[in-house]
Amino acid sequence: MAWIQMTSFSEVLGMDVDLNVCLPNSAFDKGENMLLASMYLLHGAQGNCDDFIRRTGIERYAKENNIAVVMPSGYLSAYQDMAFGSNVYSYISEELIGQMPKIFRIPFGREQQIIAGISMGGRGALLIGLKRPDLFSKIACFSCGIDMQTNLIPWDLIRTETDNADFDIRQIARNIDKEHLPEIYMQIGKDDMFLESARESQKFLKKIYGEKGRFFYGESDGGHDWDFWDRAIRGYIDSLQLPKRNDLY
Amino acid sequence: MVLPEKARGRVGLEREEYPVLYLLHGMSDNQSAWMRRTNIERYAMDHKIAVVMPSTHLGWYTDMARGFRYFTYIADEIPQTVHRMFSCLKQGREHSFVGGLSMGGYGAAMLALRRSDCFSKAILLSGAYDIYKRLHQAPKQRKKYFANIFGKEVDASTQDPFCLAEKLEERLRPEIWMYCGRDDGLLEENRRFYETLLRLDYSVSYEEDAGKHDWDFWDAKIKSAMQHLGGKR
Repeated sequence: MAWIQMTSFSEVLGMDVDLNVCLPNSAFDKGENMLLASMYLLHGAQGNCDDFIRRTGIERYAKENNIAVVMPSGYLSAYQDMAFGSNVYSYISEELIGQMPKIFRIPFGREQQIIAGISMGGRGALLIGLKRPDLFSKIACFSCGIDMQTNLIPWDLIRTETDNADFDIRQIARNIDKEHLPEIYMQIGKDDMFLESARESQKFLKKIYGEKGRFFYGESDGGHDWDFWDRAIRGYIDSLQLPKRNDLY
Repeated sequence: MVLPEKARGRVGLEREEYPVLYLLHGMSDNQSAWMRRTNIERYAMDHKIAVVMPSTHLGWYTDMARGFRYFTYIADEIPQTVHRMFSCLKQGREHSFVGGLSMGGYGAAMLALRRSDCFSKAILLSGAYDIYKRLHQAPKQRKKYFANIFGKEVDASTQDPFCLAEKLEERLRPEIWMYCGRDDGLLEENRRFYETLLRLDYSVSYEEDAGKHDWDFWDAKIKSAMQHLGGKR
């Protein structure tokens, strides 16, 4: 198992950015690449790319399921192109996703790319995944909702009253190509401060996805904390039941 | 590890792949030394070469008589691991180089001579090549340290670069660039190793100028040495 701490210049952001990569190199033991998926995992407000390394067992879960996990830094952007600030949405969706498979031997392409996150990063995963269904076949978002009323996220820097259409998740979801809906997995703790927001988002997305779409929503014990996220992320990765390699190619 | 970055790289541009330099530190240092004390990242960028800087602590890049199997780790495991994980590295002998300073100069020489099927070029800076001297003429308090590394007696066929250079068949010989400062305590053995390589008709160059066993010298020399590694500006 390798944990790679990386600093790389971003053309989009115009600065050096830090990220972490968990790469189970035992997946290469048989002389070919057995990795099954690449998960792009987004941190929440107040955090950075180190959060999952420090506060969860992500490295073990990645190894057990033969997936690569890329953890970028999204700062306090809500993973949008900020009205007053950095273009983090563009960085993740246009630059990072293309750059990672050029540097590392990790799976790429829609069917093998997952975007996931917690809290602000959960909302970010929803935003990026719905806006770019060509890049991701799966979205996993934990402890978040489309409307997250909190002063932890500097919304006044991220969007303006009049100019938010490009990053309006509801608008994006309404316009999405129904033939290529990414699978959504949403989970939240029953004691989470964003529970109501998550329930509203569920209602809205359920309508968009209808009966056919693969939309899963769950509430379980827990709050807005790392106990919950450690369990939830592990549970999600385990539940992927990724296909055996032979089925994939 | 440092990778060259494309100055204006965006998604959709074609993939770039880089040759790899394994760059070894000296005694008392670890993998951070080259990054902290030289401009290696800029030189890597200039010549489009990926630089891998491993650490083997005070182990002289050997499979220690009593200790860790550092040689095997550096020679076999590290290259395998980086090529497994990174897709942006060129593979094969002609794209694989070694370099090092002092103890790392010895280590790089050993890699180039013992794994000459894997590495085509070597940069040796102020190397410590005379293992007999280390083992048998060390100050008392150092005797045990060197015995732990090399054993009671030198095993010339695996530990002595002079002997290995003699034995290596011609078609597998690496290209070598050597550097040493005139005020370096290792000057004599650098001259001796160079003369040996020259006598054996290796493709070797040796640069000796004002300089000591210090980072001013190594930063300047690694900068000019990297021009020889086949990258393009």
